[in-house]
Amino acid sequence: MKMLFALALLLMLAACGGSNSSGSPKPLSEPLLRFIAIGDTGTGKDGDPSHLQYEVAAMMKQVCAQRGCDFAVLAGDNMYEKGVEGVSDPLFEDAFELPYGDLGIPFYVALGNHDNSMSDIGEGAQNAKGDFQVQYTEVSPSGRWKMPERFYTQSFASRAGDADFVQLFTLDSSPISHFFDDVSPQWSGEALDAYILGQATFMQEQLAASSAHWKIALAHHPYVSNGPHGNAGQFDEGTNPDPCIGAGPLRLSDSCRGEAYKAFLEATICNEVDLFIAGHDHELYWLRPSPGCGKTQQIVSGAGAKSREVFDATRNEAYFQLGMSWGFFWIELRGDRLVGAAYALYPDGTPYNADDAGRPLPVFEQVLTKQP
Amino acid sequence: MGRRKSRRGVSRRSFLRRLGFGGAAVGVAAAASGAAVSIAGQNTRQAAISQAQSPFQHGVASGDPLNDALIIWTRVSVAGDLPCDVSWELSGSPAFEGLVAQGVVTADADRDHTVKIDVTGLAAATTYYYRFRALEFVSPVGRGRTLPEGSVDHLRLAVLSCASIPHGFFNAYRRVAERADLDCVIHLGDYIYEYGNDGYGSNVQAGGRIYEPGHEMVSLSDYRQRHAQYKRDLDLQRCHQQHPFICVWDDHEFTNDAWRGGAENHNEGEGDWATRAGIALQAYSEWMPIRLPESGNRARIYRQFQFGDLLDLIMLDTRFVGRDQQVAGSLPEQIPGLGGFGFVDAGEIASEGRELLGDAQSQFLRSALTTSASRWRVLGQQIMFGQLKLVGEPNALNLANPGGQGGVFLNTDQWDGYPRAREQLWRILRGDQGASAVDNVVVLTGDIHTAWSMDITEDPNNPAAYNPQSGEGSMAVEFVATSVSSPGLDEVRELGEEGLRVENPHMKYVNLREHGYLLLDISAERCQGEHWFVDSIAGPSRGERLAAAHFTVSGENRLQSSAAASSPKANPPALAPYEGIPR
Repeated sequence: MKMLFALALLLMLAACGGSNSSGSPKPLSEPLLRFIAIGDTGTGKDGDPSHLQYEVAAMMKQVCAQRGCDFAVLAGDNMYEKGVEGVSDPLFEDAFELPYGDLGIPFYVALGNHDNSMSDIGEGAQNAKGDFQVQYTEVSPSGRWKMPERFYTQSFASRAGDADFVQLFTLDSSPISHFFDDVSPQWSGEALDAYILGQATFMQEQLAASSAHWKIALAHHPYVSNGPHGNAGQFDEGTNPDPCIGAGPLRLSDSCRGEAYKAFLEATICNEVDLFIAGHDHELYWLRPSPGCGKTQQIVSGAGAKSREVFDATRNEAYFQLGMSWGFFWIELRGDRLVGAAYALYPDGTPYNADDAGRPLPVFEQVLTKQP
Repeated sequence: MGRRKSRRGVSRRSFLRRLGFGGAAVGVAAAASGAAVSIAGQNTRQAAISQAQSPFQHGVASGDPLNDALIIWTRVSVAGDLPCDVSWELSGSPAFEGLVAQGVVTADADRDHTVKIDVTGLAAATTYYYRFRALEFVSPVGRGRTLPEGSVDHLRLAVLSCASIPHGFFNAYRRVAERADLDCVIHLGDYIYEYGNDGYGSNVQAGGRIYEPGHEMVSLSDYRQRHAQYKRDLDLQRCHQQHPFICVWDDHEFTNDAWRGGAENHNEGEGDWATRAGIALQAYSEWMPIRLPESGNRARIYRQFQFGDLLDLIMLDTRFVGRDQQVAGSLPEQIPGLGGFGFVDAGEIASEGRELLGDAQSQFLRSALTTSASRWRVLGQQIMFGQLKLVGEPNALNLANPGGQGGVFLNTDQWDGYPRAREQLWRILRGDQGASAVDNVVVLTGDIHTAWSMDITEDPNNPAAYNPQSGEGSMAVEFVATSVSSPGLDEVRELGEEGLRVENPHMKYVNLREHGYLLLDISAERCQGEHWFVDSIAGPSRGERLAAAHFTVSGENRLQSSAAASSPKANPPALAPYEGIPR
């Protein structure tokens, strides 16, 4: 399976010899937070049997019951195929409140291209729609939907009360990379430039000022991915049809390959955050830190409802990658260590790995130590 | 607390400049590599925060059951070359209520920290559960069953082969793992593949499945890493956990189209063949739950298993230990549809001296067949035994080599390419050297990624020698198990399969497109082979179906079609509990 482990690392799981038979349990005061990383969830129950949002949500509930969850991050494309028409759009209930409302944890949400679109292809040309998802934060019946602005940061204390244990930096990536330009005055020309630069400046300032032990970035578009959308700067190259290409070789939007977005990430979160969580591609990837983005670990978790095949499995070196499945990552931050586990479903909605009682087990898990 | 963004007006040019567009990236270290990441090293279970810290990442396995013994296997992942004590225990109960046997062994770098124990003194026809402990971690619980002795009325075996990682998911292994009533699993080889990520399957890489290491395995470290990767496959681990395996290798445990002196895929720059073959043998011996029939001789894996009075299972090595080099197809390129790969039984291929088994193994096989007193004799071996002809003709029409086989053959790498060696085996089955005929022989085959059921006869296209309707003239039967994941010939479709059956009337079933396993159900009255296919290898999937079932009635030595799947055993022993890798 999938299970593309970084073997050299995993062979060093344990040192032999010096076992501690007296067993000194770790102090309970170790700072600790656990969360779900999921994306591209927003199908609701649309009748398509290949869309498993509710089945993935059911697995999340089971994993959270087993291992604990303090919050979730939602990596965009929250409302397929073309966003919502207002805060009372029934898709909020179908694609968020019903599957996740009773999990009892807040969801910190980023915007994706489909959240800002006027057509099913998710061209990203109607950014005004994304504002409804910001406004929904105030009216979500469960109160679990958290998108205070289109981009924002959020700090988390650990369970033991350590303030600033984790800080989340949520980006608004679709205005920086989309298939088709938004021609409205607020989202084109100088206004768009100002918006993007404002976001970059905000993130740079927030990152510089952050005293958080763990810094995590969240966006819809990845920096690197082995899926059809691929790496920022080369988004969708080699796909057929290529959503960047209109008539002939002309690009429909200057932004669609993501060159500016790549630069944006390298100027903001790269090497500054410990972990970058994205979606957009409907597979599960935990990729090694990438040249150009420093120490930052790269997770793509866009299989929250849809699944797709990996496009180029050797494009970026992976600790783990899995296509043709559905699922999410569960992440635990514990002191200086990060435990990451991937959970995946069969097409019939049952877990690909489960114990005899049917409780989901990870299809991949590893432990990393925080890099300075 | 949420913090609000700020907005400022700035031109696009300054935005790009400030982002460092066209210049050096801002604030980013250029270097990023594995060295920047470290796995948290935890020595003890008490301190572990993740199952990923267990040393038992490669699961457990059992194999080569006898009526009083069973091989149990695991591997511990430890840092560096340090030796590590591993304790083991075996019980008749999945909850380990009462131990039957236990011990401690030391895993060391000489064996790549693999652990293999031949647990002896066991009771026959008994299901045992086993587990290991190291570094205060406990392994998953494995399950294995000893062979029966005396009177045996029912056996069920799964037969698998050919598991290419990039071509697809090992759903077939999981389906077999779920069958609680199997006596054991027979693996006919191509358990691993040697290629790198630019080789066989690189155009598929289903679900992102790629090889470790990323290059073709050549060194000992490469072969060990590849075995280790396979042993981490979720579905293969589950299968090993529940069933003892009886394995033989095929070519890809070495490299493609191996023979005793070389291989098609052993090339310049990859060292001498003896060294590479020795490496392959070492890694196989370390990583597979196999008992060497001659201590210290890793090259010999042909061996025998007795299932009471019902079955003698004879495992052969038609690949490596005695095989002469394959001969290229003899038909000229110009012959449409056949040129370049078809061949006839004449010339070098037809020569008397060409060996497939070698002398010692041939003697072993003759003895095993002629002395067997069981109801059934099953040959577990690699390559297709029956004829596979592109053009079916009776033997009498072989004018180039009178007395040889008739027609045009397809594949020189199977028994067709060693016709005189096959005739030796036919003579044993018909009875020679004063011995009587050997009845109730069932040949099991892997290697070619496709599913077949056929009668075995010397002259299948001669109606006077073999009657395809009644099966009269057949001396044995063969079941070819399809692959776990390696590709068949999807493009041939049903029409091509029907065409092959027309040219090869001894073939009762041909499927060149699907993947799965063979289920062998044996009673005193009959032996039935069932081709079970999984619904997909493109991703994780749960579906399977019975595609075809054929049986041979004791004493008849020919196949008949069966309308129904065989019945599972009543009250099978409990499966081993599965909890993932316990923390």
